[in-house]
Amino acid sequence: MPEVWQDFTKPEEEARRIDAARNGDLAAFNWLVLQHQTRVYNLCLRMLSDPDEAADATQEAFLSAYKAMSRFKGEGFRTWMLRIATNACLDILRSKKRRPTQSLDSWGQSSDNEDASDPLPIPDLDPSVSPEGSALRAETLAAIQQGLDTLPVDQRTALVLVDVQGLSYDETASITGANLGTIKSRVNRARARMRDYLRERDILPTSGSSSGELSAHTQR
Amino acid sequence: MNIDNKDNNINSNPHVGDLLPGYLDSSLPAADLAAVRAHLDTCDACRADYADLQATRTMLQQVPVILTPRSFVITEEMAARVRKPSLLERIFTPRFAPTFASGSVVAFLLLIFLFATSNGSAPVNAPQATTAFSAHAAESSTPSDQARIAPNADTQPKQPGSGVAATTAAGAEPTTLAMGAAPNNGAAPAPATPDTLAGTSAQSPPEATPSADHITSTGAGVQPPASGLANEPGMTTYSGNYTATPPASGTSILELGLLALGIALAAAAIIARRRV
Repeated sequence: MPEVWQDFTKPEEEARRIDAARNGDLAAFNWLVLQHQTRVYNLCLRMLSDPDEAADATQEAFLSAYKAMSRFKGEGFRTWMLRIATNACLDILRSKKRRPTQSLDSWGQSSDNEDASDPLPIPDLDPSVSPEGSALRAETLAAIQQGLDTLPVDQRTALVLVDVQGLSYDETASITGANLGTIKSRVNRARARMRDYLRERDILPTSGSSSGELSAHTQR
Repeated sequence: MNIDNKDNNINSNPHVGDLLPGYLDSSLPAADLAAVRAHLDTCDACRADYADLQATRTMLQQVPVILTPRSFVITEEMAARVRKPSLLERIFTPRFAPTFASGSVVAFLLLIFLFATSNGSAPVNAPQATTAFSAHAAESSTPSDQARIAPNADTQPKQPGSGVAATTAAGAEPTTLAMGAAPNNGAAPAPATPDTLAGTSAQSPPEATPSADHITSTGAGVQPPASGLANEPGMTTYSGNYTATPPASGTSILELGLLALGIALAAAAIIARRRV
């Protein structure tokens, strides 16, 4: 789990801000925004695979949260916020599915990318802006994002929340509204599909040597 | 044990591909965990599958956190756009400030108008005022006062109540009474309010009209409207007071209301103007 997501805030401090925000204190709400915006934005980025759309979804999520703040019950703010963000992403994905555009052609598919060396123009996956200290090469990150894009949305959501965001199955179940068994099942299937996807692109350690044979065992 | 036997004989080579994700996060039942572990010890293909699955999870966990391209704090403008304003907030907006200000001006103008008209309407109120005067005078006049006011009336000093005196006078000289009433009405001063009217007119008419005939005629002149009660002097006195008072308090309530309204609207205009 990336260090930047570890919660350094004291729970009582957050509870105080939440109370103030529920009473319409914009400054208190913005304090919460600053605490959670990185996580929310990264969730949206992995879900949507587009920095601009991720930024839009993030802003929309925080606006929705601000609007609904008075109805916020005592559950964890992070869980509540990530649920709103997930729904914002799902709304965007649904609207893209209804209205396929040019951007959708390159979204999650590699069929029209034969002539492009870098199929996904995502800044965070670009080598020039790849975070320093990352254990992953830029090509690996690009492949991971493309692999995520090929997953069914419910599996992608579960995998991003559990593996990329480092959340527990319980919290992921709360965020998505699915039960615990369903979440575990989605994560397991998503991991297996991601493994196959990465193996086919020679990303994994065993790739190349026996990928064909291994794939035969893992195709479901 | 749910061994994957799609491609293989379960006894000779039972691969465990389907169970590997569950094995990875230890969510399998204990028996299955042990079976998978045993299988992995003997099957290179499944061991490689499992290694790749572990590597995949590790890679996903190592996906770097991307710093946000900008801050997503909610600005005042965004908040105003999103949040449904309360009724008060919707009322106290700069848009309505001119309306409140105009309303305030109108309220104060009405107040001034009310003052002006209550001053100018003395002739209209005169009968009532006179009634008040006569009633007041009837109640408050002492025999000595009446003696001073009406020195020529022989019977007056003997009457303790002037209401009785007025009635007596009315009964004594009916023709004079009718004539005396008109000049008194015309000459009545124009007090500012009915309140003061009742108070001042109780004193001023005697000074303005030294004639005892005039005084008695004034009292009698108002009698006809209350003629039904003429046989009961006490009743006449109280009914006179009663008819004079309600317009006085009604007007002050209206004036106070207008004053409060004018001030409230002015305050509302200031509040509304300050809200951005």
